Amino acid sequence: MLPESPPQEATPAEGAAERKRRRWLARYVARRLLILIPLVFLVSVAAFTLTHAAPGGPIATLLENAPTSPEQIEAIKEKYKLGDPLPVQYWDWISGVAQGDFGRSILTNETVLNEITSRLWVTLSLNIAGIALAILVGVPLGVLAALRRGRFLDRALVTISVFFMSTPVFALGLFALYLFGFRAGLFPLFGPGEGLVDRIHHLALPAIVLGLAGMGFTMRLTRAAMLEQFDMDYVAFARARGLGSFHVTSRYAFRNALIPVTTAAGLLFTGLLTGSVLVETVFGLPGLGTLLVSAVTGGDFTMVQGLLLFIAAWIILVNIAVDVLYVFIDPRVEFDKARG
Amino acid sequence: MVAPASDATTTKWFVRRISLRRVPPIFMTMSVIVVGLIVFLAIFGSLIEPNDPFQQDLLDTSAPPSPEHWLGTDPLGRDILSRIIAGADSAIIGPFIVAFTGLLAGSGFGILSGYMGGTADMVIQRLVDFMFALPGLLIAIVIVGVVGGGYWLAVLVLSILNVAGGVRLIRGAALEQRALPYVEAARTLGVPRWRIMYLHIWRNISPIVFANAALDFALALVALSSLSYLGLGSQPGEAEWGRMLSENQSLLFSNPAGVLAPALAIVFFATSVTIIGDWIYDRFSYGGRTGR
Amino acid sequence: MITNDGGSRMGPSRGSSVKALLIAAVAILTLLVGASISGAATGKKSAVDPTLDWAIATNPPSLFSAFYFGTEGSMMFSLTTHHILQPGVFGQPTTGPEAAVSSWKAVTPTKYVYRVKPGIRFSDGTTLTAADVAFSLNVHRNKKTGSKMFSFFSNVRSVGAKGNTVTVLLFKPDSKWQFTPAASPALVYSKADYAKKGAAFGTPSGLPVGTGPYKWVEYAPNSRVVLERNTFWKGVKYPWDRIVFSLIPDANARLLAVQSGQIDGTFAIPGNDIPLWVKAPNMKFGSFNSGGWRGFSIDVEDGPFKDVNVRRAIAYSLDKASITEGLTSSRGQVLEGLPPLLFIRGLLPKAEVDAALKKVPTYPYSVDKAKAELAKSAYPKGFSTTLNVPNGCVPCLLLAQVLQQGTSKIGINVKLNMMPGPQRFQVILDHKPNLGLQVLGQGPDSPHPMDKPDLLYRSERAAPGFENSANYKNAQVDKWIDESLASSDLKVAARNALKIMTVVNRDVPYIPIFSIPGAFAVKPGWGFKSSLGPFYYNQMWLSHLVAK
Repeated sequence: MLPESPPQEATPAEGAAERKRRRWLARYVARRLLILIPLVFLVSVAAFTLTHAAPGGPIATLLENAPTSPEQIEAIKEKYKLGDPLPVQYWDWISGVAQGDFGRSILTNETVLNEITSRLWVTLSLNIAGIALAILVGVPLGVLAALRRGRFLDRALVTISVFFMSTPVFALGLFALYLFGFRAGLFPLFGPGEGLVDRIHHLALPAIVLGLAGMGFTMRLTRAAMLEQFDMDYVAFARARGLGSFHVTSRYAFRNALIPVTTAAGLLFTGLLTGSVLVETVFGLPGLGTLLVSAVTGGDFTMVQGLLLFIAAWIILVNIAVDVLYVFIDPRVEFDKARG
Repeated sequence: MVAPASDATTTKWFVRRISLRRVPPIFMTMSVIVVGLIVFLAIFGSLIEPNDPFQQDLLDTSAPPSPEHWLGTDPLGRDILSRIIAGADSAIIGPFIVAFTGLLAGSGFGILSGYMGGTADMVIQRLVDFMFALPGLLIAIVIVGVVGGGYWLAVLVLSILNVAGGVRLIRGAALEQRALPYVEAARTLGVPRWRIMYLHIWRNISPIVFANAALDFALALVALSSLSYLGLGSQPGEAEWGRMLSENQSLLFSNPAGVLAPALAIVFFATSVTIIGDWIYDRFSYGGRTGR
Repeated sequence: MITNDGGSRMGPSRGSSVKALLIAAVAILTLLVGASISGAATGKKSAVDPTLDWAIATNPPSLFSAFYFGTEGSMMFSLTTHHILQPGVFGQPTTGPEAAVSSWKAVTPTKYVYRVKPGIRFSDGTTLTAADVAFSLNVHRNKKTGSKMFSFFSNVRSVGAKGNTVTVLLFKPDSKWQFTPAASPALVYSKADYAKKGAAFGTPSGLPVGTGPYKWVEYAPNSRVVLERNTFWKGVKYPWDRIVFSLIPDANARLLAVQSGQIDGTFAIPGNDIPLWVKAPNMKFGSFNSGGWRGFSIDVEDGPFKDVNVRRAIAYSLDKASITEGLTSSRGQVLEGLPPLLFIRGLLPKAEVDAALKKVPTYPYSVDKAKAELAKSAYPKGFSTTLNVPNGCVPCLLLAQVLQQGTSKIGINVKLNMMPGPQRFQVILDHKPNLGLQVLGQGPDSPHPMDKPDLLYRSERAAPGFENSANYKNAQVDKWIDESLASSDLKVAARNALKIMTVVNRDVPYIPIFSIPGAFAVKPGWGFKSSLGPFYYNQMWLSHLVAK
């Protein structure tokens, strides 16, 4: 561990290093974005293989339960080019994807892209609201717990965070639906709503449920990170110099505690995305989660493929963003390493 | 997509982060009671079930709670309370397998990676970093849903995806141990490497291993019941808490107690196991005793 | 890598982060609570309401019937466009006010001529022509369309328009054809409109024009479909200016939506939830016979099921009366054979039907008889088998579990194998790998007594691509089916159906359990003037709806 020193303000002399750092940062972001291509390629192969290895296959999905005849099956095979060898089918699909054509959903006959974009706002608002709740409530509570280390408030908060972290979101959702939706009648029981206010009203309860799970996580993380900072010599030093407790907490300890919290934000995003599958199912919301579940259980292979690509890109991009953010918050280490 | 900070310091920090100190003792006691009760139900449940959990009664379906059926009946007339009791074993078996796989593979690869270093460490670390960023439950949903496998496929998929976390954690702990004098002493005495790794080091970091296994158990319980809730994994008709929730959800507003009771069982069980895992860590681990 | 020497970019702006975050959190929570209260206050509807709010359970994949073959789709289509013929309560073809043709005639058993009514206008003002009507049929016949209704036209040689008449030529006589023009494959579309909209036809950007009392004005997939009056409609005016079909996929939510008055009514009541809906207060529930059936097929060529005693044992092991009560609150009717008697009774005198039914073998629930039958088979101690259950079909799943319990009493162990619905259907179409037992639920495609026998019993349909999942083959049954389809007299078909039932019930390739109840729920005080029939969705159901 490097010797700890009190923080300093940046000086003009650091200007050249700053430019260098920016260049490095640009290269760093570019490099990480390049990784996106092979990763998405891998995911596409995996998704294609998985959906085509499944028993049954897509013909039945296309027919649904309509009365059938062999000619009709032939016609469908022709229309969807199901007679071609698999690599050819893969090429057809992936070259379409490269041009922004993800194909049509087998179940709904709507283009995959339209289905995804028309439902994206539900999942996105749930996730953004959930993350906002997780960070805006979880982080302050974590700090509070750390400040009250060992006291009653700390214990209570820690127990709450354990509870929310180990409670499945669908269970939480069902309780919320029953208590606040049905019994108290505060929230609507189904659907995404119409118009802005109505939509906020409809999505509030699911977003809170989703956010609470994330809140447990961030609260615990922040608390641990803060405690770590409190034990650092520089904090003791700062205190010894006579800086007030609030000053030390907010300026030094909190800033540094944010680093590990940021690192874990990728996990938080992934966790919330998974959680929204369950929350959307509980509340019957037309988002990407319910789309995924219906595509998977309904054997809608083009939709599953498209969604997997989309979700993979989402997760990878979020992780890249988190990495970059991390470099911003903790500038020197990566830079030093890259230079050396 | 890989978090840049993944070396020993971070891992150590991660260990601390997951650890939890000072849960009020009353919660610890309650947790032990809950876990004990569920284990008891898993073993002796069939003796105390008020009704046969699988016996349908088509003339008494979706009934509200009554003296005969304390939590009412499901849409096939089966006694919900008995089914909750019968669900205790599947709430233990699957998560146990996932946690145990994580424990074995985590210890094996984690210590190997942390102690040996070099290429093996590099390869394992890349792999772990990659898997760590994967959305495990989402992948399980897709694989189990598309392939159409049952409970055991779900357990298998979760077991594999779960290994990464354990490896990362245990590697960090092993790395710390490597630098300690006793390992140095053992090495000078000519103790074989595998002995140092799996007897000395493992023994010293075992609290972390077990604490992590407990956490894995809770996570697997949540993941498996989530899959069941979506109708994947467990078999229909099986007394499985997550599945009961989805099968009975239509009764939520007419028989809330019957529908929500399995949810409570999952919540209590998962929370209790987590609390116990944390407690093991705090109580026995090196870092836990000396740390804050 | 993480050092703790303090960040060099620690700006003074971070000074009050904690406070700021806390304030933001409080603000958000306040906003949420505020929104919930304001939303609750505005949720009520006014008393006089020209809008009909109707709930649907499935997201419409398209507003073009070629891509949406389902009762909910037909139910909406029927309000926006004519069928060639107007279906009666039992789907019988008539030339009433909602028919696009004024008369029709079977010139020969393979030649049908329809005369198109003059002056019917589409919602874009153009007039319906014979060419449009012919196009509406041909579009499904065209392989390139990929219509889900393709197979309805497999016996059609050609469809042509001349003047104001449309001529349909069949390959061979088929008395089932007469019903097709009164069903979903015969919804009329505008040829010009289809040409103009191309691939977008039926999508949100290409709403089809129709000839019905209402026209499509909004199609928001995953959300709702909105209809408004078609100003070119000349027939009876219904009380509603606007009809909103809201998608509420969750059955629980639908129930609450009806109870709370947010929705005026719905037909989307899952069979297995009927016990809940029957008891629910603050709404009116009604049920009718949908003409559909639910039950099992048994592959007569597969392993233990080859043995007729095994099949009879399974039939005896199922308590049909209790199952019908438990799963449908007795709104369904116990079925002792196929086709459902609903489609026979209307055609023959009651005494004749009852006399014929006396000869039909039945299998009343009896574990002892089941055991006795099994003892006569090669598997006196029972065996194990697998039953494929389609995901997402709750009634199938419940029925499968009931079978599991029933047969376990006689030593037949049934393992349930969940699979995506389409994959399960593929197993049936492929006739492999494991047909064995299959759980089925089917609505009627036509009121013809041979509708289900033709689909399920015919020998040539025990082949890949067809739905005779019992692999049932019986030359005599085939002959009766052919004779019925060739004859234009439906009484022949009805009599043959009863004969077929007698033979098939002896062989037990299928075990029908109950008729699927159709159901509706509406606001208290609302209702339907007359009982709905199995093909209500093809009728102008709105004309029967009575609102306060």
